[in-house]
This record gives sequence, structure tokens and C-alpha cells, in this order.
Amino acid sequence: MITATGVMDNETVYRSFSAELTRYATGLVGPFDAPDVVTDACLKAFEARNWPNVVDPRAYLYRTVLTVAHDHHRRTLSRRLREMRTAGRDHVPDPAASVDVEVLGAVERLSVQQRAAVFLTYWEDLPPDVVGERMGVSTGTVKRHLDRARKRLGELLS
Amino acid sequence: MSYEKKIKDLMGRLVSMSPEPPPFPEETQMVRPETRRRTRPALAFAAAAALVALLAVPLLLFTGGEEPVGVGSTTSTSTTSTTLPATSTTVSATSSTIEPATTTTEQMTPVAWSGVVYLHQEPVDSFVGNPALVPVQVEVGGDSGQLTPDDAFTAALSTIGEDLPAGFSNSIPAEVSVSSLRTEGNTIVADMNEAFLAGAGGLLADMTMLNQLIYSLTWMNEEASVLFTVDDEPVEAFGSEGLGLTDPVDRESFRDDHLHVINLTSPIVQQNNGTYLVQGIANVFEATVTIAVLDASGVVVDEQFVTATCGSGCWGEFSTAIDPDLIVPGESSIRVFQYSAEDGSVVDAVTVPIPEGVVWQFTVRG
Repeated sequence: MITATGVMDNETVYRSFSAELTRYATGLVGPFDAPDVVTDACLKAFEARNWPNVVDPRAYLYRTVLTVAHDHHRRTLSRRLREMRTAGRDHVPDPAASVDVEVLGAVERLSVQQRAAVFLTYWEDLPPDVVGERMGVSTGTVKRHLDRARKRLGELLS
Repeated sequence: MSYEKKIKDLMGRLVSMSPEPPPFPEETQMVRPETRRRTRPALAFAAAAALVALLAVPLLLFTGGEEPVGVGSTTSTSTTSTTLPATSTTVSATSSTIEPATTTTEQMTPVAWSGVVYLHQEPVDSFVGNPALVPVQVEVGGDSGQLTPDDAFTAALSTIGEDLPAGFSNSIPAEVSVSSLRTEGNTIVADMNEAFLAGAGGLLADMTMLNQLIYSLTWMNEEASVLFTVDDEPVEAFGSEGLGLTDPVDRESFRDDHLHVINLTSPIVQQNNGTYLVQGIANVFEATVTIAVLDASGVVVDEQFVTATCGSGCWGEFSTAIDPDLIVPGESSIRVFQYSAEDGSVVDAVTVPIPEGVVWQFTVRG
């Protein structure tokens, strides 16, 4: 059961991190589904049995966002882009008003984990060990994801 | 502009599309509304199993009189509640060798039984080296038309060792069998034959055998405990160490020192929504379990990680769904492991092949 104190704590945690989690989710699944991913991830985290014992809620929430993004939204970005390209930008939902199809097309080339590694490294400017902590993987795995991501983006950015 | 700068620029353009953060999910303050609830498959299965048990127990008692309470589920053409919906979540294929015969409500004689039996596997690159539990889907058919769920379950356990699927092992000696099963509250009383007392020949084998039996007997109710008896007497000395088993034991009783750090708790079979569910328990570094899909050549075609409910010294549950597009039944395998905290290498790997149908099936001739 969640106590009144627990509710306050969860809300405080949420307000502290929701903005950066939303940016992170945008990097993983695009702007359309980022709010849903953040909401689902936070619900999942807050309901986890070991949530009260989590020492670093930010790292935990980052990992949960990545899990949710990976589990449920792997193909969503591709589908959204297909819809946009087919229907034209005038017919896509609200967030598309500021959508940069070229950027999303580039991100689409990456796996969700590669997106996470690139986002945390190049946007958050985090070192590989911290990126690994946020992703729940080893530093070696982060470097591997980054290497593959660079190769996949190489053609586009060269 | 340098290549690194171009990636930074790309990320900047991506972040500029970021929407406003969603509002705080108020439903965390209370029970989640029905519209947002996503029932976990494991819970759904457990709930279905509990419902089945509630329905099946009185029916079996009512119709069978002295019939022992079944621990398995049955499949029959009968229109009674012994045609169990719970099994539909785990059975991925039906057996072509089992021919269900028409039964009547009065007879209550199921002729095909579908259930789960736990085998084990030696993990790869494991520092400790304890065996990992791996459940398999089994179907048992009785051509006499008189096979009860308990008969079938007993037959399944007693027949383990014949034609095991590749990669699986069994520590239950062939001469060990279950004489009868009944439930008392939340305890399953398993009366074993005398061969049970000798164990499996060594402490680790004994414990593995016990874990296999406990997990198999509680596959429908993970919270249940098991009381082993022989000739209806409590077991005071079991196996090579003379372990006392006079009190009920459960899934947690022997896992800390005698199980691998990653164990599967459900057979990896296709769900109703098409995905393949991977479920288990783990006690791994930072609770991070990695799951890879391998093709027929053992090449990794996909990799994802899942965070268990606990880790780094405590056991947690994990569950994730695998995209069916990644799986070729009969060719693909699922590898569950963790990356070494020391050097990032793959350690503690358990690999389970994805079968084309039910992993293991046989007919008991009566």
C-alpha cells in the first residue's frame, strides 16, 4: 500500500525528473510517444516492490524508461514516420508541428539501446560508466552500442 | 563540422522536439483504474490457475470420492470445468499423438494432461556453477481413458530422463516416483515412493532434485508449499546429508545456495498476443538480466535487458516479451544471462531452444 508520505515522495521525484525523462524518452521513441513512455515507466517504478529501497531514483527511472521504450515502442517510431511520409505532415497529430523528419529518420536507424547510448553520451555529456549505470549495462556494452551507432549514422552524417 | 559535433547537433534537434512532460500519474495514489491496468502475464496465469484449482477441487472431490486432488490441468472434450482455460495461455501447440476421447461429467476421466515440469541446465561461464532451473511444457496422453491429472503428473515426473530435449538435464532418479498427491490448504502433500529417500547421489544433486520437484509441484501455484512424505510418514532423513523434510518447503527453501543466479519460471511459449514471454527469477548484479535471441547458427539477432524486481544480493522476478518476428520456432533460442561487472563478458548464460510445438510429449499406456 502506498502511504501518504509515499505519494508525496513519488510526486516530488516525478516533478524533479519528469522533464529530463521526457527528453530522454523523446530520444528513444520520438516526440509522439515520449509522454506515454514516461508515464508508464513511472507507474512501473512506483509500483515496483523494491522502489522504496532504491537509492538512486534518477538512475532507476532512466533504466525503467529504457525498458518501457524497448518493450512497447520498438516499432512505433518507424510506424509514425511511415504514416507521416504517407499522409503528409498536415495530417499528423499535434507534436508533429515541430517534427524534424530528417532527424527522426536518422534515429530510426538505431536500436533503442543505441539511441540511449548516443543520447546520454552526446546530449547529456555523460561518461561511459555513468551512461552504463543509467542504461543498466556495462561500460563495454555502452562503447559497443556507441560504436555501432556511429557506424549506422556515419553514412547520413558524412 | 566534426563528426562528433554533427551527432551533438542531431541530438539537439531531437531534443528540441521534446513535448511537455506529462502530468503526474495520479493513479499511483490509489489502486490503478481498470483502464490503465495491464495485468502481468504471470499474475494472470497464477490467477487463472487459482481459479482452476478452486473449480477443479470440489468437482474432483464430488465426483471422485477418494480421487486425489489434481495438481495439473486437463484437456478433454468434456464440457465440464475440467476443460481448463488456464492452460491456453501456455500451450503453444497441440499434440498430434494424443487423441482426446469423449468423457462425461460423471466419469471425470481426463485423457490428456498439459502441464509444466522443471528440468535443469548447466549454465555457461558461471562462477558458482549451480544448475539453472528450466521449465518445459509437457503433454501426457493416456490411451486407456482413465488417466487422472495426478496420474499424468506422476507419470511425467517419473518418466523424466527419456528423450530429454537438448540442453536439459534431470536430477530426479528414474526409480523415484510420486505415489499420490493431495492438497491441505496451501500445502501440497506429495507422498513419494521409498526411492525418494536416497536422494540423487550427492548434496548438489539432492538439492537440485528437490528444487525440480518443488517447482514442478507448485507450477500452478507458486506460493504453495510442499510436504514430502513416504508411506504417509514425514521424511526425517533425505539424501546424502540426511536432510530433515518434516516441515513443508517451498520455492525459496533451497534456492539461495543451490540454484543458479538466473532461473526461468515459465516455459518460453507464444502468448495469445503473439509475443514470446520470458519469465524468471534472478539474483544478479544491479538486477539487470540480459536476454538475447539467437538464430539457428547461434548468432545474436536481438538483445534486450530487463530489470528484475531486486538484485545484487536479493532475488527478483523478471519478465519480458520477445517480438515474434525475431523467433523462428524450431530454430531460434533464447539466451538469458548477465554481463560481467568486471569485464563486460557474457556470464551465467542459460540457453533455451524455442520448440515448434510442445517441447515434450508422451503417451502413458494403461
